[in-house]
Amino acid sequence: MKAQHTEAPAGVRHTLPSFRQLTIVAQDPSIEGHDGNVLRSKVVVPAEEMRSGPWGYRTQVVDYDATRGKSYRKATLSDVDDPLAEVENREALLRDPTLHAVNCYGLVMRTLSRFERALGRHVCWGFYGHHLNVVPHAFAEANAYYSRDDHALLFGYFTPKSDPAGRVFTCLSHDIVVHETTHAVLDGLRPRLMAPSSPDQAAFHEGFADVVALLSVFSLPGVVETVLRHALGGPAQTLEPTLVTREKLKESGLLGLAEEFGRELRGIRGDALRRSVKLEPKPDYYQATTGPWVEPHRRGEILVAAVLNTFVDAWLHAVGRVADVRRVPRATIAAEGARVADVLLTMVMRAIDYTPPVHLNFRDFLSALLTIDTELWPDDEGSKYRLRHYLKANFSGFGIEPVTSLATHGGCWRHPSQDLRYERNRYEQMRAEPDEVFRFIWENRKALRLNEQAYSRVLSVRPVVRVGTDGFVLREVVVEHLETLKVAAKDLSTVHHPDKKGHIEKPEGMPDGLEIKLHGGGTLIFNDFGLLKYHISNGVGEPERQSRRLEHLWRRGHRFGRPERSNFDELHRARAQGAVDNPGEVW
Amino acid sequence: MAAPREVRVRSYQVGFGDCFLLSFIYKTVERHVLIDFGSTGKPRHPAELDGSLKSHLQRVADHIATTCDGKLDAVVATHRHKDHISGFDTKSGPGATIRSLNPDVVIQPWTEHPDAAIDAEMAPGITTDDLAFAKGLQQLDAIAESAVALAATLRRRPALRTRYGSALIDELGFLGETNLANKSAVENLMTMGTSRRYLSYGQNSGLSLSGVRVHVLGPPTLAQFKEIRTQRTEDQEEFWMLQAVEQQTSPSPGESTLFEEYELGRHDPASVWLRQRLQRANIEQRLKIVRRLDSALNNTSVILLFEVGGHRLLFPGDAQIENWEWALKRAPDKQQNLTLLRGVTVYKCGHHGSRNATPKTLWNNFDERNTDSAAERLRVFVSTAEGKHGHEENNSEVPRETLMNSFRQQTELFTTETVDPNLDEPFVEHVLQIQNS
Repeated sequence: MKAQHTEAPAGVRHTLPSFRQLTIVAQDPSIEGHDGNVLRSKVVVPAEEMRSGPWGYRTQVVDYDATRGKSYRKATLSDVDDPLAEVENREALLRDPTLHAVNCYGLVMRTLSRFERALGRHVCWGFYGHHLNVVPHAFAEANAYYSRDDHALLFGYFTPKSDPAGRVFTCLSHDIVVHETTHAVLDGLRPRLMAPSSPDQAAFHEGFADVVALLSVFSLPGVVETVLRHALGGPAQTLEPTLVTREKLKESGLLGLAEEFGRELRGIRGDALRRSVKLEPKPDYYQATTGPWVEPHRRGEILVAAVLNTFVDAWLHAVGRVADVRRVPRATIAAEGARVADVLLTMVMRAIDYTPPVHLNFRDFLSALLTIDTELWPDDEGSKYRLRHYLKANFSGFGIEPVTSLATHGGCWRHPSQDLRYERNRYEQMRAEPDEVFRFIWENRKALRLNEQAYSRVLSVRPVVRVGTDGFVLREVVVEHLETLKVAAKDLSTVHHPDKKGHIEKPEGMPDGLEIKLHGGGTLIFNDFGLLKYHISNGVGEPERQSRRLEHLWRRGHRFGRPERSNFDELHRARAQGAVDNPGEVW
Repeated sequence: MAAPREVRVRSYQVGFGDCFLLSFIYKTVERHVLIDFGSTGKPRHPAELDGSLKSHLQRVADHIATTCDGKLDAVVATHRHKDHISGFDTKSGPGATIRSLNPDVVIQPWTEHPDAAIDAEMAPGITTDDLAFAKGLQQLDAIAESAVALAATLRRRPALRTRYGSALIDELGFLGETNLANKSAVENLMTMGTSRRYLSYGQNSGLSLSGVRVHVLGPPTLAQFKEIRTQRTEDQEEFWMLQAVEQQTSPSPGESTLFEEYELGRHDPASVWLRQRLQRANIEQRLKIVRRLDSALNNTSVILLFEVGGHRLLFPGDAQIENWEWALKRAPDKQQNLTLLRGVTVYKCGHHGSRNATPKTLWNNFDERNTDSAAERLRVFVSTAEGKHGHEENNSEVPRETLMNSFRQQTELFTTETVDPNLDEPFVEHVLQIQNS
């Protein structure tokens, strides 16, 4: 059925709606709803004037198949069309390329706008341009990836082993589309995170994309009901809250869902949900410096497991609050799960603003999560979901502790020294102009503990507008700055950090004359009054972090001095193929 | 019978490929083991081969037949790549000549086991899982076929050749050709001689040579591979299957549409740039996949170590690091392996001198390396053809220059690149005197 036409009278532009609803595939075509049809869900996306493709202001679907050299029919989407709502069955969905295009468009725009809502501003892509190309049937290969160079998300298709006559379209898998979109968004927010660094940084891109993808799926009540159906079974419309347990939710519910979805995709995706649910919490994986847990996807699973366990715990906490009620409607418990996923999703997205721009590790991310939550909800104990409590416990279970002390700072970032100079800065300009912010950095370079030998520049100045917990509008400015220092390997030991003991160590076997480029930098967060609230930094001379990074890259055969790039296509393919990584053995 | 008096190691000039004849000379008899026989490219250095590669390989086969006086004791086909087995082809190669030498045993890796039903002696310890995996590997021919077809299409169209460059197209074609199963050679090896052995790490080689001990150091079985790969073998197998099926069904551009019920759209002028990039990316992906297939098959190589008198001769086929990983780092008896390998006196360089087939752990462990060229030191044989494979700019050239430099500095180097293919005796040879005879 078509939605009611909402066209505004000519000339009254401000009455046009800003958002619209669009139906998307809730997980993938193998998951059925009660009616036996593909489980779908309505999501909210920005309303816009569109060209066929769909082609809107931030994304363009280009349905070109490079394997066959064909362009498929474009989808035309007016502001009242909702073609996936009208799909009759799975076969109808699979055989119509325009539905695939609309599904991709809807998921990409939902993810983008979800980030923008969480961050309180527009998010630019990680390349020069406004349009992200989305190619739903890019090639015949069991692979999907984000390519910065192509300004594109590329989705492959393939024939499943179980059905030689069938076809699996990765563009119809909710978590795959959101995973790849998240890579593109994160690349726009933190472009340096794709540069070669520590095992954590490479793993973070993958783990974070999986976290956003899974929480995006679980924020749909229909999917959460499916989890409950697996966990508790039966057609009952009401449930006893005490029967909803951690074990059941994880071992039957989430694993049951994992069994259903991605069955055909397991070979490509590495099955983040299944692996993370089964991952027994222990610190060994995170502490490993060699072996499988250094590989980006595997290491990323630690992050996914910690967040997913938090999701389950917070959901149970919310259900436990009504434990004295005999029976609760199943839909209520499902809706609560979807809400927890949504709150966590906002939190993880927002936390990106509170991370350093270079050499990110999981501990930084945990501190960012705790800081952002503390700012919004100072009282964790009295809160509905106790997210900070469960985050600390679950990350700690995997050996990940926040950067700052839990006892004195609650694991949150420290506020900067009060000894900063603002007198020569202009408040309005500080909200938009990199040069004005750089003036602030220059004036305060000593207080900000910057390396005076390094080349410094401001990467971005991003004004943020959010609604605070008191209901009033909150204005912040998020600034990224970068420090770069080139040194010969033999001089690494001469690079120091004003606050840290020791020096950067040259990896064994590295030639003395090799030119090494060190990167450092920080995120500055200015408050409503233009005063610095946080400076979250990894200095260029930090001995431990830089030594670890160099050692890791050197052992993996990184070619220093060459242009740095990260190939998600190769990374994904290597994950599926189980490549053994032995850089020290090659010539 | 006592130990041999001497051992002759002969490396025939076959261009880009391997062909080694090991001759064990006893007091009254000679025993001969042929290790690999194949080529993917005519010899060009130090002189261009006159005539066809086919007739050259026949000449080599005839020379082998004469040398061994009509009888081979064993044939070893280290793995299924064309540059190691095309000489066993009975239709377009000299396979019939080799077959007529009636080897007592034909040795291949366990992954080549045709079927449990065939009368072949299988290495103990190989499970049905292993066989299923091996069968899967054999089915991957579709990937190679598709690469060959795509390279041919691109070569036929000058505009595409210009756009993508001949280097990319040539590598696609070369790797496709190399990996394509040579059915005639495979069948010949499967039925040749008196018995067949399909070997894995630690098994008895089946070679019976007086005074010679033969150790099988690779390839690991699936269970051993699993331990190396820890968790992803299942995913990997699935991935390969998916690629193989897909490439069977959609081999080349312009053939079909995915959505038959729907008319095609027009190519949008606004996305010309993206379409061209995607076309290139698609070809590069096919190349990456076929490279992976190439590595996977290299890693099925049988690794043999012959121990005779004070000498140890190492023939690892094209085994790459992943195959070596078990013997060097994971096997329960790895320390014994390292001790054995420390005393290697003759090393057949793995994979024609590529960058990842002489693991540094293996190389650094060789005691017989010596920079003093007057001293008796490690002999290294490299059967290769420069400029055929890989590029210097990404360190993938074969043979790898840094490896060759180490050979030049620390070993006595024998390379087929110095052998004129048009000679009556187109090989490089070294004779080892066995001390205790």
